[in-house]
Amino acid sequence: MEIKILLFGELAQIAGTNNIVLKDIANTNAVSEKLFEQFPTFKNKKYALAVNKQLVKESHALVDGDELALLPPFSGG
Amino acid sequence: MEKKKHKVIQQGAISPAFIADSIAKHSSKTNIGAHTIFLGQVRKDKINENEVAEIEYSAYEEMAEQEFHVIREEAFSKHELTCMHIYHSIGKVKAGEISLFVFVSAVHREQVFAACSYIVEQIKSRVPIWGKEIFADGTFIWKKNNINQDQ
Repeated sequence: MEIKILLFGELAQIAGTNNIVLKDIANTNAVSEKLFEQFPTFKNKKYALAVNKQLVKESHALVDGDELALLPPFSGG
Repeated sequence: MEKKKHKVIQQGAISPAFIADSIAKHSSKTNIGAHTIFLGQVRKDKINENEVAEIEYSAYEEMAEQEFHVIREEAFSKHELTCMHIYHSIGKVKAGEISLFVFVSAVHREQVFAACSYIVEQIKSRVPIWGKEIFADGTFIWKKNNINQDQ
């Protein structure tokens, strides 16, 4: 299974990319762990998670084709 | 009640001519008695001797359009409105230029003041759009919104 991770704002700047593909990942907690390994400064950043454009709070199970977005605090307007 | 859906996110600054044109387009809607217009302008903030030259907006576009639609529906259900238009810039907008245009119309004025204020506060707290404040020297910081908790 494969999921697409979208990064925005400061997170995209830190990572140097705005999208990452991850394979065989069970849930959003597992994604966080993997991202913290690759980008340790993410641990100090505040952000919300959205799976397929819906905000999720606790660890959310992921299926093939899901789109997970990491959303820093919004600053539109 | 008119509820035509259009894309909110627009590339670049929103021009005064566009705003004037929007006003002109409503003169045929003869049941309207009041409009409230909110314009968000990029402010030349000074931070540690550095002045903001422009803001570069980025967005999770599909989710942002979805959220704008939800906010629209909420405003229509809370207030008796004739119509409502929201436009938000993406990409670079210079200091002094307009990056947000909210245009709310109703039969009477009581409805438009509250509705416009509600819409603006919801946009600032709920829509996945980010602003990068770019200074004259090319350095930048990520914009932080002050959210009005009463809305």
